Amino acid sequence: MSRREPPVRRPDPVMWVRVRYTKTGPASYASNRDLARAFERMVRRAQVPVAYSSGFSPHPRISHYNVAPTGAASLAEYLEVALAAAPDLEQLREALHTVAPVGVAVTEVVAIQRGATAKELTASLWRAEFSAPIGLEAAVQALLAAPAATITRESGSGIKTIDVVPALRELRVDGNIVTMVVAHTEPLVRASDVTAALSRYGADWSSCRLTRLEQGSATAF
Amino acid sequence: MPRRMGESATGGYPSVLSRLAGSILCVMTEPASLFPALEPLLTQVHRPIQYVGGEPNSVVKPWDDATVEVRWVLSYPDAYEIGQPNQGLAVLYEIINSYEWAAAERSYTVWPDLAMLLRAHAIAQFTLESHRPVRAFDVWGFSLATELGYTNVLEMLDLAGVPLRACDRDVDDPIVIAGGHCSVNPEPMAAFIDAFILGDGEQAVGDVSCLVREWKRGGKPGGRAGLLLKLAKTGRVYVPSLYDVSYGADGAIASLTPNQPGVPSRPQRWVLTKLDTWRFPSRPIVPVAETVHERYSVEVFRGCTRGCRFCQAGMITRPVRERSASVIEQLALCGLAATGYDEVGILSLSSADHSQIGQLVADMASRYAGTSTSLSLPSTRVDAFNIELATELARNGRRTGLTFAPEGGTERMRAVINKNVSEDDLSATVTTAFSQGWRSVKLYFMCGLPTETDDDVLAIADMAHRVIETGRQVSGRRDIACTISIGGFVPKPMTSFQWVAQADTDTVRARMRGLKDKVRADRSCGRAITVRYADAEPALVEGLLSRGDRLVGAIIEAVWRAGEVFDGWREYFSFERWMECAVTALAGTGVDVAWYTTRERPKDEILPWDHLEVGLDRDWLWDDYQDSLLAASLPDCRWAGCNGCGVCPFFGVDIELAAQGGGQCKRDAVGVS
Repeated sequence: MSRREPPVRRPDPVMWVRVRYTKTGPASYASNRDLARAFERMVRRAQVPVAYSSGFSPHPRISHYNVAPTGAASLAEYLEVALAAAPDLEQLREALHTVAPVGVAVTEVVAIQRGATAKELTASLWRAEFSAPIGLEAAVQALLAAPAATITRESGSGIKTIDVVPALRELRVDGNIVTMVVAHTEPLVRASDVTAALSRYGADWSSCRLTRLEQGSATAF
Repeated sequence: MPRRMGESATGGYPSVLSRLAGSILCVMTEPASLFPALEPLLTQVHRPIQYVGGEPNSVVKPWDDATVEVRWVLSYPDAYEIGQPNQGLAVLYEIINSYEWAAAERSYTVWPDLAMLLRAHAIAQFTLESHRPVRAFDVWGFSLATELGYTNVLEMLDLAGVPLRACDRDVDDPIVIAGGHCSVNPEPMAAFIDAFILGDGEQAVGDVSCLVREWKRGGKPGGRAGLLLKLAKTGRVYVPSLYDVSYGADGAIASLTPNQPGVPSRPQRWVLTKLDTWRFPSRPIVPVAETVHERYSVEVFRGCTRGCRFCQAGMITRPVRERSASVIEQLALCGLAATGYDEVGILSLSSADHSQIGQLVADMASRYAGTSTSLSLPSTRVDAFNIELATELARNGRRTGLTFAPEGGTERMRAVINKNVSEDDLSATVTTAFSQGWRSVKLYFMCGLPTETDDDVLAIADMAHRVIETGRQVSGRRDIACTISIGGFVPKPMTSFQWVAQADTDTVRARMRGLKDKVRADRSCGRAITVRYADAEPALVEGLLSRGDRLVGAIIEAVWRAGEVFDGWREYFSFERWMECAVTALAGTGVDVAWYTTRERPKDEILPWDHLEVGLDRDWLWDDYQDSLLAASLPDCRWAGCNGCGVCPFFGVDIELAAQGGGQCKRDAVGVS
């Protein structure tokens, strides 16, 4: 005989919100898993009326999109949260912001249709700050002129070969700063893939700090 | 102004940026933050998040705040993922930071990838709060929970630029203090640690901080030696450099005595009473990086008098002192709200023994029923009550495995170690568990126990066989599983087994292999049984370090100099290196690894920790050891009256059970910040 009780069936969310936040300074070094855990705890600390999943192991219904990679800063990260009530959104933002780890600033909370985020965020504007402008100008010109530029990257399932050109919408250089617009394509081309390609064209790559400035549609930046 | 991360009243978006800007301004004062130098290296190492700090509830007191007179660094000598969840350090962090005039920051062992880069770029061991060099602090406290962390202590000292040996440090180096269970035998680390604190740290860190403040205010009279002498004279801090050791012709210690007037010959352990009145972290740090325990933990009592003869933790933390259920529930409420964790851990050496545990668990289970919060109660008691509790805890539907610790395979073996569980108890417990819906159990055992024979270990397979058969019968299902977890026994100081010979690695390995073969040969149940075992070699090194004397310090140093760190991690541990270095370091001393480990020690031999007072009567320990050889049991003093271990009368304390109003006092003084 089993006394195992059935899991509680939880009510459907009453609304969905999109949270925009930054990850800078120490928080740049958080992985997507770290951030997922951090936000689950933040919604509990801030007493956000988050909707939980049903099942034996209920979790807050939070969906992260395009999390900037470990080590990259970002001024434009987004996630969606399902809510079980309709609170004042500015108060909610403030409450989340107050309990965030250093480097995470919650900048905006807006009501949205579920899943809208993925449809709207189709490209990212990145800034890459190289330690020195050595070879950078030439590398940018070379990459812009190239019909294809493949790089290799280690992934969980082995070595991946990726052509960065199809995703690259814009590429500019000013001194040691490169700005670029990278479309969220499949397979995903990361900003670090583009800087890796630049290094193959001779850019000095010993140190390069990446910051995502915006996300949205490629034409809007 | 001291401030806890996440406590900021201002909130608003710009405040984080100004918060960052504020910390950048602090860089202008000496010594500078190492973060700007560290940051470019972070993209080159694994899991850089563990080195950046900034976690919610971490406490940052500005470096230029003149009201802060005593600065501590608290360290657990292992990686962040292991060290950060350590409850002892969390308590001390809470207490030290509660003083306006003191501050505590944290520092853990960096992994070899970052260590290499730090050395290449001349960046010193840093703290996580201010990223200041550890060497700039007043006191550096290490929690020594396992001997296999000793090489990491040396690694951290070296990375910090603090001279490895206490005798080479000057007045600008921090005072290096160690506490934790390993410090009941401080001798192997005596050369590297300035002072040891035995026992409960709550009061000790306050008293030490006061003495350091006084010493600093007075212009550091007598320099470093002046402060150490002052600490030693309290009688509750052990400063190894103030004691001389001589050895006899047989290699054993001939004498270990103070070398200065006024230094007590028997430094004492700290014993805290009335736990309810002491602060306990109600807003602990919430790591951003992943760690081994992700939950809010409440310590429900300290000490254990079950009297398991192998158990150092139980022997050196007597008597039992409980927190009351109401305080525990209040802490859990505050702790969850402040951390956002979804699990409460009810911790102690044997939580199911708390005098109010039934009510406590029922109350908490009701409170969190229907929420996403779960409760966990690590308990290894082998009785039906344990199942009752586990069933209560699983009300939310989450059902983890059940764990029992019979420790020995035969009734005789269990009588020897005073783990008094009969076959009938075990069978009844397992029957209840499987009839309540559990499908798998985990059983903990030790191998290499005193008087153990091959048959004692092989009997574990029979026990697991019966567990599976009972489970299948009671549940009517085939998917019943049993995991046997077995590790090598390491005799520990200040236990009834402090004199016994540790089993050699060949014996331990052979017995474990025998067990595995027997399980594999079990046609009907073998496939439902998993045998997990800990390697015999690290256990031997642990034995060497736990019962070693000052000579063993030379081995630790040699092993570290040969490049070894993280000995608690299988992928880093090198038994060969330890044995090689032991041969070199012990050359000419007349003793060897076997002398320290696999040799039975005579009753009258001076043991390296005999000069330290934890309150246990040495004759009582010896008599208890003799009783063990006769398989005579020793009842628990909580229920069967005093058995004369000596602790309570020595310290003038008593058992404090919450059900009898034991831990309660000054209810409003509960450490809820």
